[in-house]
Amino acid sequence: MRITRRFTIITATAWSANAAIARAAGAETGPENTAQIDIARAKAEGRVVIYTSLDTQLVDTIIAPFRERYGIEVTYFRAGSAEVTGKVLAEADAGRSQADMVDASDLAALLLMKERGLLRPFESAARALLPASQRDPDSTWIVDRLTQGVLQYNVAEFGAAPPQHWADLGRAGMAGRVSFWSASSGDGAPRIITLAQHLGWDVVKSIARTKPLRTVSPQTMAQIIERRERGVGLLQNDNVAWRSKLQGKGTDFLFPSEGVPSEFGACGLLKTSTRPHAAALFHEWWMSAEGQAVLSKGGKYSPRTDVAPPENSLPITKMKLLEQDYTTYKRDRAKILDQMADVFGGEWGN
Amino acid sequence: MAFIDIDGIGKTFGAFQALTDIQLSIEACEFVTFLGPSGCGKTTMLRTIAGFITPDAGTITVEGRVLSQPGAALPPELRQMGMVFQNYAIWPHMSVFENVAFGLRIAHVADAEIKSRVARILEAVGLEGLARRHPGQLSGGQQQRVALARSLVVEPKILLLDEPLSNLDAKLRERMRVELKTLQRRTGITFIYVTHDQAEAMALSDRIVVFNQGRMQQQGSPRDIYEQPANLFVADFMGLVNRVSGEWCGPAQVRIGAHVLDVTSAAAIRIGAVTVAIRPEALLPVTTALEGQNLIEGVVRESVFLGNIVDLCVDIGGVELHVQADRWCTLAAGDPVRLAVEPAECVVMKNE
Amino acid sequence: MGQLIAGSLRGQRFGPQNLVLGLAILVLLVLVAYPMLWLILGAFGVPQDLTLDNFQRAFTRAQNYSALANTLQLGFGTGLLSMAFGVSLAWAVARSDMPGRQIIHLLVALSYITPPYLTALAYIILLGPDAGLINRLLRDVFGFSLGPLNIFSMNGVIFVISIHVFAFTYFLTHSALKSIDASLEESAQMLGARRWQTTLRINLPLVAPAITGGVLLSVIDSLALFGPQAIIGMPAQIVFLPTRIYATISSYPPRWGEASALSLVLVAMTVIGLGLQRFFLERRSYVTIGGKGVRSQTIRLGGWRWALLAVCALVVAMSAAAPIGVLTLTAFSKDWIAPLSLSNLTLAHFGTALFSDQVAARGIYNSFRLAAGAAFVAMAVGASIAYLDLRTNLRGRNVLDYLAMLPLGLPGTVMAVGVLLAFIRLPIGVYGTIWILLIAYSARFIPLATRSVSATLRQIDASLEEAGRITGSSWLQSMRRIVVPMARPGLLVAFLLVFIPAFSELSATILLYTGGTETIAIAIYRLNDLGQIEVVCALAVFTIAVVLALSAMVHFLSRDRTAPSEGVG
Repeated sequence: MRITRRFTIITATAWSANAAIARAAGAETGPENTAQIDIARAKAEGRVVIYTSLDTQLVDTIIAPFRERYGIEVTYFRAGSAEVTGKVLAEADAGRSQADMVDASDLAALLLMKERGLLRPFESAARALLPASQRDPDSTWIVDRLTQGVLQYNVAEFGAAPPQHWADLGRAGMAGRVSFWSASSGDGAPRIITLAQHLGWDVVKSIARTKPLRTVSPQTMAQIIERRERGVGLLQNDNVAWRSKLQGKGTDFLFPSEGVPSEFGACGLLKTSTRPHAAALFHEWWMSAEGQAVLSKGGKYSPRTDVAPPENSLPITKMKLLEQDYTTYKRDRAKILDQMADVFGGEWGN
Repeated sequence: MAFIDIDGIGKTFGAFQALTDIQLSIEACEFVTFLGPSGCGKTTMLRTIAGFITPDAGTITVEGRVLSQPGAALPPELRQMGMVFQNYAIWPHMSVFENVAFGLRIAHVADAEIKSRVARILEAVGLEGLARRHPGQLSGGQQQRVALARSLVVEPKILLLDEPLSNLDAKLRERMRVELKTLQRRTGITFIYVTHDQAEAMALSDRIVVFNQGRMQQQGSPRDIYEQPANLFVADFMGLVNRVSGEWCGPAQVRIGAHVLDVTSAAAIRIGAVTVAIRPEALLPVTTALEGQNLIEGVVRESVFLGNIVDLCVDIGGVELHVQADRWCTLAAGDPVRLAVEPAECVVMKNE
Repeated sequence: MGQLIAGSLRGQRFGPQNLVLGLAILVLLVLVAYPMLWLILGAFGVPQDLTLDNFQRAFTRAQNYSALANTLQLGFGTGLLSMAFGVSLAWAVARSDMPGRQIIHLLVALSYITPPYLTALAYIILLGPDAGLINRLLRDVFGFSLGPLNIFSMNGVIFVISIHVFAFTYFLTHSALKSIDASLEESAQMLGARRWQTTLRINLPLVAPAITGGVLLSVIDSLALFGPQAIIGMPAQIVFLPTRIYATISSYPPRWGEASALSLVLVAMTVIGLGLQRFFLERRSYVTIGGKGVRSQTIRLGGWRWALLAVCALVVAMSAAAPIGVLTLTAFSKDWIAPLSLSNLTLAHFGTALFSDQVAARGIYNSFRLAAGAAFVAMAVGASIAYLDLRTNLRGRNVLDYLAMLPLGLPGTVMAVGVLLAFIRLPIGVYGTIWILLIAYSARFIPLATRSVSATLRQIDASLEEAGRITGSSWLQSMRRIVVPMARPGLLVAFLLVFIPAFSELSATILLYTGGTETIAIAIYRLNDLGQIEVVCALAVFTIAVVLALSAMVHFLSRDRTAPSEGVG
């Protein structure tokens, strides 16, 4: 993957036109928008550290052309969203922040970081291409991917008659056939609570009664279904289900007509960053059409209206989406995790 | 001022008093032996002289130079002494040559000189031709010689030997004794020798220092210490001895049961209960006593022929005496016997 | 004259000996005592607070309470299973005429050196309730409608951990049985005791302390094994203290105080266990230890020896052959779900694991340098502490020795919490770098090095060094030219004994690594999360190959020395 001419032109123009202003305005606090990014300084800063919950294969693919183009090293810490967030908060508490940019597929986490004053406002060039709900009015965060929780199933198990609705997973015959995922830090919780809020707790509780097998991540859940350890997966990441199907692993997935939770992944720049220009430059590459196209090729939906959905995929506008209430989730997270532990048992980081 | 002055040395390890007020002068070229049972402090004293142990009290001076004082000790490597260890401490990762050459290499002696000096010393200790061997290929006696060569090659003024013969078998031990003695005479090095074997001490030493429980008990020539032990411990340690309880009954007389013995004593106050020490070989089965000898009558309880001597157990009226008679003695159990003993052999000691 | 001595003494006080040993003490304090101090402070809410709330939470919250109960249940279960596996195999290998005893012995060693999280991964493939290979086989053969064995259960966790930790019980029992001289049994037989009576009334009481000590060691180790507890326990929805501590910190906002308090609870459990273990092993002294020249009675079993072999073979097949086999198979398979066939074989996953996957390649590089660094530090500190303990009369040296042994009772997770709390606030750049991992590894494995060097140093008589001193060499020269050359094989063993577990360390690393400092264990753990099972298995095979090669080297180097099997935590 190469950085295309368009991205280069945009940033190069911005650089040449505004280098002087940038040097004055962004001297202490770093650039506040794309135009203020000083590429020479970014190169001098030499490195960007990002904390992300994105699959490492995708991260590697996004990083490679950036590294080649600018000679700026990108190191990343990759873990589940909750763990990434925990690490950012722990470091901030200790005054030893390491990351320049953070990305998590849990908008509530970014809201919490903003509330704690950890994020730096930055007006991304991508803002204009995103609906208002997907960017912070104060520009501290911006949605960088949308993940829908779909119903994934093993084709051999169900043949032509897979369960069509979420409630179907809670039927008596599904005992021992369902799988769901959440790491011990509780990052599977937001989409489950969304399902409960929209369809009622009864649906979720009836699924829990089938003794679903827990896995730690969407990818491990896909494995479980591919091997037919379990026949069907609750709230699978659409990109993971998409890839599994594409690779011919004997699975398929569907969007139940009552709706699928749509999860906002978002990213932001950290105030404590000592490499503000390199970080902003990378942020803009991450949010650029080219950067986002990498996600799309990997089966992720970009929030950018100008980036096509993944190959052979339903456009997001054609789905019935169940919206997540991130503000409530941020506020009540501890309580919600307790509920999860009550309903499903096991470790939720609560 | 003597060559080595040990002045009031004391050392404790935790609650254990290892050395108490050791006072000793050693002359140049002297062969001095520290003798005592294990744990008596003799090795601690030797290691204090070597500089491995820092004393809590007292000083050690060699040729007028203080080497150890309370809380301070010149490190061993700066003392120009040699030491032979009980287990020889031959370095197993070095050849015989390298073992012996070690001290010279540390002192940056030229290679050619090292070669000739090592060869000379190996010849002197009877190891010529074994320079390339490794310690594992040597017998105990040979290792012993390597240890000696290693400490002598640096030409120390003082050689410390910590029970060097105790790991050898009896025959080899006797031969090494003679060699050590000859070596010491020839080199004129001051030997300080530690052993628990009184026979070895007597065979080797110009002077024996007896240790017990961290204290010096007595020092003197082997004969002095054997014949005139200062106390019961020394008497016991230097060889077999009869210890008989008695009571002063005259200026130079002690009553033992029904017998009254003429004795020798250094004691000033001659009254009360005492112990008389008599060596078994000093008691002679006789028909009549000579002028001035004590005569004790008794009955043989047991008689054992041991080859060079005959061991008798004689009852002298409630007290049993151990007697070593010559091998021509034919007394048997039940026979009456008369024992003669010189007053000088009856050493009176305080009860302990 | 007195002045002269005082002068040279002053020189000594800052001389190389005190400098070197003083530095080692300092390193030990920074590596072990300082993080422990922070662990305790952290449990009281420092630096934000000073409170007992964390202890209250640790004991009263349902999640913590059940983690504690589950951990106890795990310890109990692994204890029983370790005893069953360990004692029967030890008896068969040490005393019977069963064929293939050497191979069984080696396979037990292999199950011990295989990192337990790899065994856990293998057993998901083997014993997944529905799709596990063994379950499928059983279903096909016996017609079960569902797989009969479910790895995702408490019994599953107990089983997977037991087949790793039973090695402690095995090795201790084996060496105790080997050290009973046949004359003890023959005396009983001369007095008319039958075979079984001798076993029950002579052998059993003699080896009972060793068995108890071994079982306790197995239990202590099982409590601390984060990997299998997470990999099997998570799907089974069973929480243990180490996974609970991890979740408490890795969720947001992280709850350090609660994690510290839980850590102290876990430490209390392991320290009590170690205390009991020491108590039982000290009672072992009446067994004729020494080993050399001991003649042991071999029991002839006749046809039964084949039955016994079948039992033993089943145990080691479960503990070593099957898991390593399935990992290897998966690593070489194009499609791990498809059946085994020549056309399904590939080397591609090794290419990915060793070269093209960034995290994995970095992990391998980091693991090698971290293991080497930690092994060097632990060896150097361990050697200094062993030297201080054996060769000097420094006051408080037994405190240092105790401190150097303390990490044995500290699970990796706990060590990581302490190290994190201690170093995250220091202004020196340790946190977020590879150095914090080096610190944690060194601290964790100092006991292994100290114990190993101590055994070596005991075999080098102090007089060898003193002979160097009195012959004119300084302390440093004596060390360099006499002690170190003689101790070299022992030091190398100590180095390897740290290198091997450090190379595949997971439980502390998971809390301390960051972007760029991933290790091979992290690569395995994280790539498994991301579903790249074939690459994970290739990494697993690589890891096992490395630790196996190094263990063989240890075996080769220490074959003339006493077996280092005792108490390697």
